[in-house]
Amino acid sequence: MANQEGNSRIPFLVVCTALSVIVSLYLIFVYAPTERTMGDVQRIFYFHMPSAWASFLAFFVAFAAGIAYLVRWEPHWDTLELASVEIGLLFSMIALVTGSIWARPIWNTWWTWEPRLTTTLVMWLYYFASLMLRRLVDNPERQARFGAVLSIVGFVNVPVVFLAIRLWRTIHPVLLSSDKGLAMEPAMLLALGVSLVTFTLLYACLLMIRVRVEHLRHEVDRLRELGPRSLSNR
Amino acid sequence: MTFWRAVSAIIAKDLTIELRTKETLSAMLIFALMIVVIFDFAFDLHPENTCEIAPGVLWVAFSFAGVLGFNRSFITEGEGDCIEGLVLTPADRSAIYMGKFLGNVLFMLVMESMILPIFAVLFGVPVLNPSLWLTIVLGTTGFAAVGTLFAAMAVTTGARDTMLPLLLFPVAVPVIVASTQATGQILGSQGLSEARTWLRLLLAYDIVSIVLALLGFEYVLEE
Amino acid sequence: MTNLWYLFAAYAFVWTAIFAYVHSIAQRQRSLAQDIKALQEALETIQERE
Repeated sequence: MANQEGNSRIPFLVVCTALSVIVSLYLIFVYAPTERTMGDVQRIFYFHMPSAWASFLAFFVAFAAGIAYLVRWEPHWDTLELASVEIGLLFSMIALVTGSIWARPIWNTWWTWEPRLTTTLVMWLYYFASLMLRRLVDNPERQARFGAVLSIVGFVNVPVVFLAIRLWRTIHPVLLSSDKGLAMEPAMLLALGVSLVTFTLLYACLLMIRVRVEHLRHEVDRLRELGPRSLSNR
Repeated sequence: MTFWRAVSAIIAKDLTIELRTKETLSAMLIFALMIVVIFDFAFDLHPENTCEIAPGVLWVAFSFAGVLGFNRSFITEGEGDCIEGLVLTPADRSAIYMGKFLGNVLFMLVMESMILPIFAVLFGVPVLNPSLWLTIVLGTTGFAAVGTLFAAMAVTTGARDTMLPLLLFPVAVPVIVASTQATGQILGSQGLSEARTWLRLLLAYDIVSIVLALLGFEYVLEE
Repeated sequence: MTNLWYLFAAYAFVWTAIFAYVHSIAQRQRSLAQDIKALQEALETIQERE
Protein backbone atom coordinates (compact mmCIF):
# COMPACT_ATOMS: atom_id res chain seq x y z
CA MET A 1 0.00 0.00 0.00
CA ALA A 2 1.23 3.48 -0.80
CA ASN A 3 0.87 4.56 2.81
CA GLN A 4 3.56 2.20 4.01
CA GLU A 5 6.15 3.70 1.70
CA GLY A 6 5.13 7.17 2.83
CA ASN A 7 5.44 6.10 6.44
CA SER A 8 9.10 5.23 6.10
CA ARG A 9 9.89 8.39 4.15
CA ILE A 10 8.24 10.90 6.42
CA PRO A 11 10.17 10.18 9.62
CA PHE A 12 13.47 10.85 7.80
CA LEU A 13 12.28 14.26 6.71
CA VAL A 14 11.04 14.97 10.20
CA VAL A 15 14.39 13.99 11.68
CA CYS A 16 16.21 16.31 9.29
CA THR A 17 13.85 19.12 10.15
CA ALA A 18 14.27 18.58 13.87
CA LEU A 19 18.05 18.67 13.52
CA SER A 20 17.84 21.79 11.43
CA VAL A 21 15.63 23.42 14.03
CA ILE A 22 18.10 22.66 16.80
CA VAL A 23 21.05 24.00 14.82
CA SER A 24 19.02 27.08 13.90
CA LEU A 25 18.09 27.77 17.48
CA TYR A 26 21.71 27.67 18.51
CA LEU A 27 22.76 29.97 15.69
CA ILE A 28 19.92 32.39 16.23
CA PHE A 29 20.12 32.73 19.98
CA VAL A 30 23.74 32.00 20.83
CA TYR A 31 25.98 32.33 17.82
CA ALA A 32 24.61 35.38 16.03
CA PRO A 33 25.94 38.66 17.41
CA THR A 34 23.60 41.21 18.91
CA GLU A 35 22.65 43.90 16.51
CA ARG A 36 24.03 47.31 17.28
CA THR A 37 21.01 49.57 16.93
CA MET A 38 18.08 47.28 17.67
CA GLY A 39 19.48 44.93 20.29
CA ASP A 40 18.37 41.38 20.82
CA VAL A 41 14.88 42.04 19.47
CA GLN A 42 16.44 41.97 16.03
CA ARG A 43 16.68 38.18 16.35
CA ILE A 44 13.01 38.02 15.43
CA PHE A 45 14.30 38.66 11.95
CA TYR A 46 15.62 35.10 11.79
CA PHE A 47 12.07 33.76 11.94
CA HIS A 48 10.33 36.63 10.25
CA MET A 49 12.20 36.65 6.97
CA PRO A 50 12.41 32.86 6.46
CA SER A 51 8.67 32.64 7.17
CA ALA A 52 8.01 35.10 4.42
CA TRP A 53 10.33 33.17 2.14
CA ALA A 54 8.55 29.90 2.96
CA SER A 55 5.22 31.47 2.08
CA PHE A 56 6.56 32.64 -1.28
CA LEU A 57 7.86 29.14 -1.92
CA ALA A 58 4.50 27.68 -0.98
CA PHE A 59 2.62 30.01 -3.28
CA PHE A 60 5.04 29.25 -6.08
CA VAL A 61 4.47 25.52 -5.64
CA ALA A 62 0.72 26.20 -5.70
CA PHE A 63 1.19 28.16 -8.91
CA ALA A 64 3.11 25.31 -10.53
CA ALA A 65 0.70 22.68 -9.25
CA GLY A 66 -2.23 24.71 -10.59
CA ILE A 67 -0.69 24.74 -14.04
CA ALA A 68 0.06 21.02 -13.82
CA TYR A 69 -3.52 20.32 -12.82
CA LEU A 70 -5.00 22.28 -15.71
CA VAL A 71 -2.68 20.51 -18.11
CA ARG A 72 -2.93 16.97 -16.76
CA TRP A 73 -6.23 16.90 -14.85
CA GLU A 74 -4.70 14.55 -12.27
CA PRO A 75 -6.24 15.11 -8.82
CA HIS A 76 -2.98 14.85 -6.92
CA TRP A 77 -1.89 18.16 -8.43
CA ASP A 78 -5.03 19.75 -7.08
CA THR A 79 -4.28 18.29 -3.65
CA LEU A 80 -0.76 19.67 -3.78
CA GLU A 81 -2.05 23.08 -4.77
CA LEU A 82 -4.64 23.21 -1.99
CA ALA A 83 -2.19 22.06 0.67
CA SER A 84 0.46 24.50 -0.48
CA VAL A 85 -1.91 27.47 -0.38
CA GLU A 86 -2.98 26.57 3.16
CA ILE A 87 0.60 26.32 4.36
CA GLY A 88 1.53 29.48 2.49
CA LEU A 89 -1.21 31.26 4.39
CA LEU A 90 0.16 29.90 7.65
CA PHE A 91 3.68 31.13 6.96
CA SER A 92 2.67 34.52 5.66
CA MET A 93 0.50 34.98 8.73
CA ILE A 94 3.53 34.15 10.86
CA ALA A 95 5.57 36.66 8.88
CA LEU A 96 2.94 39.37 9.34
CA VAL A 97 2.53 38.78 13.07
CA THR A 98 6.26 38.46 13.85
CA GLY A 99 6.85 41.54 11.73
CA SER A 100 4.25 43.41 13.72
CA ILE A 101 5.74 42.27 17.04
CA TRP A 102 9.17 43.32 15.86
CA ALA A 103 7.86 46.67 14.69
CA ARG A 104 6.35 47.62 18.01
CA PRO A 105 9.58 48.24 19.95
CA ILE A 106 11.49 49.51 16.92
CA TRP A 107 9.07 51.77 15.07
CA ASN A 108 6.75 52.30 18.03
CA THR A 109 3.66 51.06 16.27
CA TRP A 110 2.02 47.68 15.74
CA TRP A 111 1.19 48.43 12.17
CA THR A 112 1.83 50.96 9.47
CA TRP A 113 0.46 51.24 5.97
CA GLU A 114 3.86 50.79 4.54
CA PRO A 115 4.13 49.19 1.06
CA ARG A 116 5.66 45.83 1.93
CA LEU A 117 3.35 45.25 4.89
CA THR A 118 0.32 46.37 2.95
CA THR A 119 1.05 44.22 -0.09
CA THR A 120 1.78 41.23 2.14
CA LEU A 121 -1.52 41.68 3.96
CA VAL A 122 -3.31 42.05 0.66
CA MET A 123 -1.64 38.86 -0.59
CA TRP A 124 -2.77 37.03 2.54
CA LEU A 125 -6.34 38.22 2.04
CA TYR A 126 -6.28 37.09 -1.56
CA TYR A 127 -5.21 33.54 -0.81
CA PHE A 128 -7.59 33.37 2.13
CA ALA A 129 -10.43 34.45 -0.18
CA SER A 130 -9.37 31.85 -2.74
CA LEU A 131 -9.66 29.10 -0.11
CA MET A 132 -13.04 30.49 0.89
CA LEU A 133 -14.21 30.44 -2.68
CA ARG A 134 -13.17 26.81 -3.00
CA ARG A 135 -15.24 25.90 0.03
CA LEU A 136 -18.27 27.75 -1.34
CA VAL A 137 -18.27 25.90 -4.64
CA ASP A 138 -20.23 22.64 -4.49
CA ASN A 139 -18.93 20.72 -7.42
CA PRO A 140 -15.53 19.21 -6.48
CA GLU A 141 -14.28 19.26 -10.04
CA ARG A 142 -15.15 22.93 -10.37
CA GLN A 143 -13.53 23.57 -6.99
CA ALA A 144 -10.29 22.18 -8.31
CA ARG A 145 -10.48 24.15 -11.54
CA PHE A 146 -11.19 27.44 -9.81
CA GLY A 147 -8.52 26.77 -7.22
CA ALA A 148 -5.99 26.19 -9.97
CA VAL A 149 -6.89 29.37 -11.87
CA LEU A 150 -6.82 31.42 -8.68
CA SER A 151 -3.44 30.04 -7.63
CA ILE A 152 -1.99 30.71 -11.06
CA VAL A 153 -3.23 34.28 -11.38
CA GLY A 154 -2.73 34.97 -7.69
CA PHE A 155 0.96 34.30 -7.88
CA VAL A 156 1.35 37.82 -9.28
CA ASN A 157 1.03 38.86 -5.61
CA VAL A 158 4.51 37.59 -4.82
CA PRO A 159 6.53 39.78 -7.19
CA VAL A 160 4.30 42.69 -6.16
CA VAL A 161 5.44 42.22 -2.55
CA PHE A 162 9.05 42.12 -3.69
CA LEU A 163 8.79 45.18 -5.87
CA ALA A 164 6.87 47.13 -3.24
CA ILE A 165 10.15 48.17 -1.72
CA ARG A 166 11.59 49.37 -4.98
CA LEU A 167 8.53 51.26 -6.10
CA TRP A 168 8.16 53.24 -2.89
CA ARG A 169 10.65 54.61 -0.47
CA THR A 170 9.90 52.85 2.77
CA ILE A 171 10.99 52.47 6.40
CA HIS A 172 11.11 48.70 5.96
CA PRO A 173 14.69 47.46 6.29
CA VAL A 174 16.09 46.57 2.90
CA LEU A 175 18.34 43.55 2.88
CA LEU A 176 19.67 43.55 -0.66
CA SER A 177 20.72 46.89 -2.03
CA SER A 178 22.47 47.20 -5.35
CA ASP A 179 25.33 49.30 -4.06
CA LYS A 180 26.05 47.66 -0.74
CA GLY A 181 25.40 44.02 -1.43
CA LEU A 182 24.25 42.01 1.57
CA ALA A 183 24.25 44.44 4.46
CA MET A 184 24.92 41.86 7.18
CA GLU A 185 27.78 40.33 9.10
CA PRO A 186 28.82 36.80 8.09
CA ALA A 187 27.72 35.30 11.41
CA MET A 188 24.28 36.75 10.92
CA LEU A 189 24.22 35.53 7.36
CA LEU A 190 24.94 32.02 8.58
CA ALA A 191 22.10 32.14 11.09
CA LEU A 192 19.80 33.49 8.42
CA GLY A 193 20.85 30.90 5.88
CA VAL A 194 20.34 27.96 8.20
CA SER A 195 17.03 29.40 9.31
CA LEU A 196 15.97 29.59 5.69
CA VAL A 197 16.81 25.92 5.31
CA THR A 198 14.88 25.09 8.48
CA PHE A 199 11.78 26.85 7.31
CA THR A 200 12.00 25.23 3.91
CA LEU A 201 12.17 21.82 5.59
CA LEU A 202 9.27 22.77 7.85
CA TYR A 203 7.27 23.67 4.78
CA ALA A 204 8.08 20.29 3.24
CA CYS A 205 7.02 18.44 6.41
CA LEU A 206 3.75 20.30 6.71
CA LEU A 207 3.10 19.77 3.03
CA MET A 208 3.56 16.01 3.33
CA ILE A 209 1.22 15.57 6.26
CA ARG A 210 -1.39 17.87 4.78
CA VAL A 211 -1.32 16.03 1.47
CA ARG A 212 -1.58 12.72 3.28
CA VAL A 213 -4.72 13.84 5.11
CA GLU A 214 -6.21 14.95 1.82
CA HIS A 215 -5.54 11.52 0.32
CA LEU A 216 -7.26 9.94 3.31
CA ARG A 217 -10.26 12.18 2.66
CA HIS A 218 -10.38 11.04 -0.97
CA GLU A 219 -10.21 7.44 0.25
CA VAL A 220 -13.19 8.04 2.54
CA ASP A 221 -15.15 9.54 -0.34
CA ARG A 222 -14.23 6.62 -2.55
CA LEU A 223 -15.30 4.06 0.04
CA ARG A 224 -18.53 5.93 0.67
CA GLU A 225 -19.40 5.62 -2.98
CA LEU A 226 -18.57 1.91 -3.06
CA GLY A 227 -20.99 1.16 -0.22
CA PRO A 228 -24.27 2.14 -1.86
CA ARG A 229 -23.11 0.61 -5.13
CA SER A 230 -22.49 -2.84 -3.67
CA LEU A 231 -25.78 -2.54 -1.79
CA SER A 232 -27.62 -1.83 -5.01
CA ASN A 233 -25.82 -4.70 -6.74
CA ARG A 234 -27.71 -7.25 -4.67
CA MET B 1 -20.04 31.65 -36.11
CA THR B 2 -16.94 33.74 -36.46
CA PHE B 3 -15.20 35.00 -33.40
CA TRP B 4 -15.95 38.69 -33.71
CA ARG B 5 -19.53 38.12 -34.72
CA ALA B 6 -20.05 36.11 -31.55
CA VAL B 7 -18.36 38.82 -29.52
CA SER B 8 -20.54 41.58 -30.93
CA ALA B 9 -23.64 39.44 -30.46
CA ILE B 10 -22.85 39.10 -26.77
CA ILE B 11 -22.13 42.80 -26.38
CA ALA B 12 -25.32 43.67 -28.25
CA LYS B 13 -27.33 41.36 -26.02
CA ASP B 14 -25.96 42.85 -22.84
CA LEU B 15 -26.43 46.37 -24.17
CA THR B 16 -30.04 45.69 -25.09
CA ILE B 17 -30.79 44.33 -21.64
CA GLU B 18 -29.11 47.33 -20.11
CA LEU B 19 -30.93 49.84 -22.28
CA ARG B 20 -34.20 48.30 -21.22
CA THR B 21 -33.56 48.06 -17.48
CA LYS B 22 -30.77 50.61 -16.95
CA GLU B 23 -30.04 48.73 -13.73
CA THR B 24 -26.32 48.18 -13.93
CA LEU B 25 -25.24 51.56 -15.18
CA SER B 26 -27.36 53.48 -12.72
CA ALA B 27 -26.07 51.38 -9.83
CA MET B 28 -22.48 51.99 -10.93
CA LEU B 29 -23.05 55.70 -11.38
CA ILE B 30 -24.68 56.24 -8.04
CA PHE B 31 -22.05 54.21 -6.24
CA ALA B 32 -19.16 56.07 -7.86
CA LEU B 33 -20.83 59.39 -7.21
CA MET B 34 -21.37 58.51 -3.56
CA ILE B 35 -17.72 57.64 -3.15
CA VAL B 36 -16.55 60.87 -4.74
CA VAL B 37 -18.89 62.96 -2.63
CA ILE B 38 -18.13 61.16 0.61
CA PHE B 39 -14.41 61.60 0.08
CA ASP B 40 -15.05 65.25 -0.60
CA PHE B 41 -16.61 65.61 2.84
CA ALA B 42 -14.38 63.18 4.68
CA PHE B 43 -11.16 64.83 3.68
CA ASP B 44 -12.17 68.44 4.18
CA LEU B 45 -10.47 69.48 1.03
CA HIS B 46 -8.38 72.55 0.49
CA PRO B 47 -6.54 73.32 -2.72
CA GLU B 48 -3.31 72.08 -1.11
CA ASN B 49 -4.28 68.51 -0.38
CA THR B 50 -6.64 68.07 -3.30
CA CYS B 51 -3.94 67.21 -5.77
CA GLU B 52 -2.59 64.46 -3.56
CA ILE B 53 -5.90 62.85 -2.84
CA ALA B 54 -7.75 63.37 -6.09
CA PRO B 55 -6.22 60.54 -8.17
CA GLY B 56 -6.78 58.03 -5.38
CA VAL B 57 -10.39 59.07 -4.90
CA LEU B 58 -11.05 58.85 -8.60
CA TRP B 59 -9.69 55.35 -8.91
CA VAL B 60 -11.33 54.09 -5.74
CA ALA B 61 -14.64 55.29 -7.15
CA PHE B 62 -13.96 53.74 -10.55
CA SER B 63 -12.75 50.40 -9.23
CA PHE B 64 -15.52 49.84 -6.70
CA ALA B 65 -18.19 50.82 -9.19
CA GLY B 66 -16.45 48.60 -11.71
CA VAL B 67 -16.63 45.60 -9.39
CA LEU B 68 -20.34 46.21 -9.07
CA GLY B 69 -20.65 46.13 -12.83
CA PHE B 70 -18.59 42.95 -13.21
CA ASN B 71 -20.74 41.01 -10.80
CA ARG B 72 -23.89 42.13 -12.54
CA SER B 73 -22.56 41.19 -15.94
CA PHE B 74 -22.66 37.55 -14.90
CA ILE B 75 -25.62 37.61 -12.57
CA THR B 76 -27.95 38.19 -15.50
CA GLU B 77 -26.63 34.95 -16.93
CA GLY B 78 -27.30 33.08 -13.72
CA GLU B 79 -31.00 33.83 -13.94
CA GLY B 80 -32.92 31.37 -15.99
CA ASP B 81 -29.81 29.29 -16.57
CA CYS B 82 -28.81 31.64 -19.36
CA ILE B 83 -25.23 30.66 -18.86
CA GLU B 84 -25.98 27.20 -20.20
CA GLY B 85 -27.50 28.86 -23.22
CA LEU B 86 -24.36 30.86 -23.71
CA VAL B 87 -22.12 27.85 -23.44
CA LEU B 88 -24.17 25.88 -25.94
CA THR B 89 -23.88 28.50 -28.65
CA PRO B 90 -21.51 27.56 -31.46
CA ALA B 91 -19.07 30.12 -30.17
CA ASP B 92 -15.65 29.85 -28.63
CA ARG B 93 -15.42 30.24 -24.86
CA SER B 94 -12.92 32.98 -25.61
CA ALA B 95 -15.59 34.82 -27.58
CA ILE B 96 -17.78 34.74 -24.50
CA TYR B 97 -14.93 36.19 -22.50
CA MET B 98 -14.24 38.87 -25.08
CA GLY B 99 -17.88 39.81 -25.26
CA LYS B 100 -18.25 40.06 -21.49
CA PHE B 101 -14.91 41.82 -21.10
CA LEU B 102 -15.56 44.45 -23.76
CA GLY B 103 -19.06 44.95 -22.43
CA ASN B 104 -17.65 45.57 -18.97
CA VAL B 105 -15.08 48.00 -20.35
CA LEU B 106 -17.82 49.81 -22.22
CA PHE B 107 -20.03 50.15 -19.16
CA MET B 108 -17.12 51.33 -17.06
CA LEU B 109 -16.12 53.92 -19.63
CA VAL B 110 -19.65 55.26 -19.80
CA MET B 111 -19.77 55.50 -16.03
CA GLU B 112 -16.36 57.14 -15.92
CA SER B 113 -17.20 59.72 -18.55
CA MET B 114 -20.19 60.77 -16.52
CA ILE B 115 -18.29 60.87 -13.24
CA LEU B 116 -15.37 62.89 -14.57
CA PRO B 117 -17.19 66.23 -14.94
CA ILE B 118 -18.64 65.94 -11.45
CA PHE B 119 -15.23 65.03 -10.14
CA ALA B 120 -13.75 68.03 -11.92
CA VAL B 121 -16.22 70.34 -10.23
CA LEU B 122 -15.93 68.86 -6.75
CA PHE B 123 -12.15 68.55 -6.71
CA GLY B 124 -11.27 71.46 -8.94
CA VAL B 125 -9.00 69.47 -11.23
CA PRO B 126 -8.71 69.85 -15.02
CA VAL B 127 -10.09 66.80 -16.75
CA LEU B 128 -10.18 67.96 -20.37
CA ASN B 129 -6.90 66.21 -20.96
CA PRO B 130 -6.48 63.46 -23.57
CA SER B 131 -3.57 61.98 -21.63
CA LEU B 132 -5.88 61.60 -18.69
CA TRP B 133 -8.44 59.90 -20.89
CA LEU B 134 -5.78 57.55 -22.21
CA THR B 135 -4.76 56.67 -18.66
CA ILE B 136 -8.36 55.97 -17.74
CA VAL B 137 -8.88 53.76 -20.77
CA LEU B 138 -5.74 51.76 -20.11
CA GLY B 139 -6.46 51.39 -16.40
CA THR B 140 -10.06 50.41 -16.98
CA THR B 141 -9.06 47.81 -19.55
CA GLY B 142 -6.57 46.13 -17.24
CA PHE B 143 -8.96 46.18 -14.33
CA ALA B 144 -11.82 44.72 -16.36
CA ALA B 145 -9.63 42.05 -17.91
CA VAL B 146 -9.03 40.27 -14.62
CA GLY B 147 -12.34 41.40 -13.16
CA THR B 148 -14.33 39.61 -15.84
CA LEU B 149 -12.43 36.37 -15.26
CA PHE B 150 -12.85 36.45 -11.49
CA ALA B 151 -16.47 37.55 -11.68
CA ALA B 152 -17.28 34.43 -13.69
CA MET B 153 -15.98 32.38 -10.77
CA ALA B 154 -17.36 34.53 -7.98
CA VAL B 155 -20.95 34.44 -9.22
CA THR B 156 -21.08 30.67 -8.86
CA THR B 157 -20.77 31.08 -5.11
CA GLY B 158 -23.33 32.65 -2.83
CA ALA B 159 -20.94 35.32 -1.61
CA ARG B 160 -20.08 37.06 -4.86
CA ASP B 161 -20.16 40.56 -3.40
CA THR B 162 -17.43 39.75 -0.90
CA MET B 163 -15.48 37.30 -3.03
CA LEU B 164 -14.92 39.41 -6.10
CA PRO B 165 -13.37 42.50 -4.48
CA LEU B 166 -11.27 40.36 -2.15
CA LEU B 167 -9.85 38.36 -5.05
CA LEU B 168 -9.63 41.15 -7.59
CA PHE B 169 -7.94 43.97 -5.70
CA PRO B 170 -4.73 42.13 -4.81
CA VAL B 171 -4.20 41.10 -8.40
CA ALA B 172 -5.21 44.55 -9.64
CA VAL B 173 -2.70 46.36 -7.41
CA PRO B 174 -0.31 47.04 -10.33
CA VAL B 175 -3.14 48.58 -12.37
CA ILE B 176 -4.43 50.73 -9.56
CA VAL B 177 -1.00 51.92 -8.54
CA ALA B 178 0.06 52.70 -12.09
CA SER B 179 -3.25 54.41 -12.87
CA THR B 180 -3.25 56.58 -9.76
CA GLN B 181 0.39 57.53 -10.18
CA ALA B 182 -0.06 58.40 -13.84
CA THR B 183 -3.26 60.30 -13.08
CA GLY B 184 -1.51 62.21 -10.33
CA GLN B 185 1.33 63.20 -12.58
CA ILE B 186 -0.91 64.20 -15.45
CA LEU B 187 -3.23 66.25 -13.25
CA GLY B 188 -0.29 67.87 -11.53
CA SER B 189 1.10 68.64 -14.97
CA GLN B 190 4.49 67.30 -13.97
CA GLY B 191 5.04 66.50 -17.58
CA LEU B 192 3.94 63.48 -19.51
CA SER B 193 7.41 61.95 -19.49
CA GLU B 194 7.20 60.46 -16.00
CA ALA B 195 3.65 59.41 -16.57
CA ARG B 196 4.84 57.64 -19.68
CA THR B 197 6.60 54.93 -17.70
CA TRP B 198 3.46 54.24 -15.74
CA LEU B 199 1.44 54.20 -18.94
CA ARG B 200 3.82 51.72 -20.48
CA LEU B 201 3.48 49.55 -17.42
CA LEU B 202 -0.29 49.79 -17.76
CA LEU B 203 -0.14 48.76 -21.38
CA ALA B 204 2.04 45.77 -20.56
CA TYR B 205 -0.26 44.74 -17.74
CA ASP B 206 -3.28 45.09 -20.04
CA ILE B 207 -1.82 42.82 -22.66
CA VAL B 208 -0.63 40.19 -20.21
CA SER B 209 -3.87 40.12 -18.26
CA ILE B 210 -6.09 39.89 -21.35
CA VAL B 211 -4.06 36.96 -22.65
CA LEU B 212 -4.02 35.18 -19.29
CA ALA B 213 -7.71 35.83 -18.73
CA LEU B 214 -8.54 34.46 -22.17
CA LEU B 215 -6.64 31.30 -21.35
CA GLY B 216 -8.09 31.03 -17.87
CA PHE B 217 -11.65 31.56 -18.99
CA GLU B 218 -11.64 28.29 -20.92
CA TYR B 219 -11.06 26.48 -17.64
CA VAL B 220 -13.53 28.53 -15.69
CA LEU B 221 -16.49 28.03 -17.95
CA GLU B 222 -15.99 24.36 -18.69
CA GLU B 223 -18.81 22.18 -17.46
CA MET C 1 16.61 43.84 28.12
CA THR C 2 13.02 45.06 28.12
CA ASN C 3 12.62 44.25 24.46
CA LEU C 4 13.32 40.59 25.10
CA TRP C 5 9.65 40.23 25.95
CA TYR C 6 8.86 40.95 22.31
CA LEU C 7 11.43 38.43 21.15
CA PHE C 8 9.82 35.80 23.32
CA ALA C 9 6.33 36.74 22.10
CA ALA C 10 7.33 36.43 18.47
CA TYR C 11 9.06 33.12 19.05
CA ALA C 12 6.12 31.75 21.04
CA PHE C 13 3.75 32.77 18.28
CA VAL C 14 5.74 31.00 15.60
CA TRP C 15 5.75 27.71 17.42
CA THR C 16 2.16 28.00 18.63
CA ALA C 17 0.95 28.64 15.09
CA ILE C 18 2.88 25.74 13.63
CA PHE C 19 1.84 23.31 16.33
CA ALA C 20 -1.79 24.40 16.17
CA TYR C 21 -1.77 23.62 12.47
CA VAL C 22 -0.06 20.27 12.96
CA HIS C 23 -2.56 19.43 15.69
CA SER C 24 -5.53 20.24 13.47
CA ILE C 25 -4.08 18.03 10.76
CA ALA C 26 -3.49 15.21 13.22
CA GLN C 27 -7.07 15.49 14.43
CA ARG C 28 -8.40 15.34 10.92
CA GLN C 29 -6.20 12.36 10.19
CA ARG C 30 -7.46 10.48 13.24
CA SER C 31 -11.10 11.02 12.43
CA LEU C 32 -10.60 10.13 8.78
CA ALA C 33 -8.72 6.96 9.70
CA GLN C 34 -11.63 6.01 11.93
CA ASP C 35 -14.06 6.66 9.10
CA ILE C 36 -12.04 4.48 6.75
CA LYS C 37 -11.94 1.65 9.23
CA ALA C 38 -15.70 1.85 9.79
CA LEU C 39 -16.44 2.01 6.08
CA GLN C 40 -14.14 -0.93 5.33
CA GLU C 41 -15.80 -3.05 7.99
CA ALA C 42 -19.23 -2.12 6.65
CA LEU C 43 -18.15 -3.12 3.15
CA GLU C 44 -16.81 -6.44 4.39
CA THR C 45 -20.05 -7.30 6.15
CA ILE C 46 -21.98 -6.43 3.00
CA GLN C 47 -19.70 -8.58 0.89
CA GLU C 48 -19.92 -11.50 3.33
CA ARG C 49 -23.67 -11.48 3.13
CA GLU C 50 -23.53 -11.93 -0.65
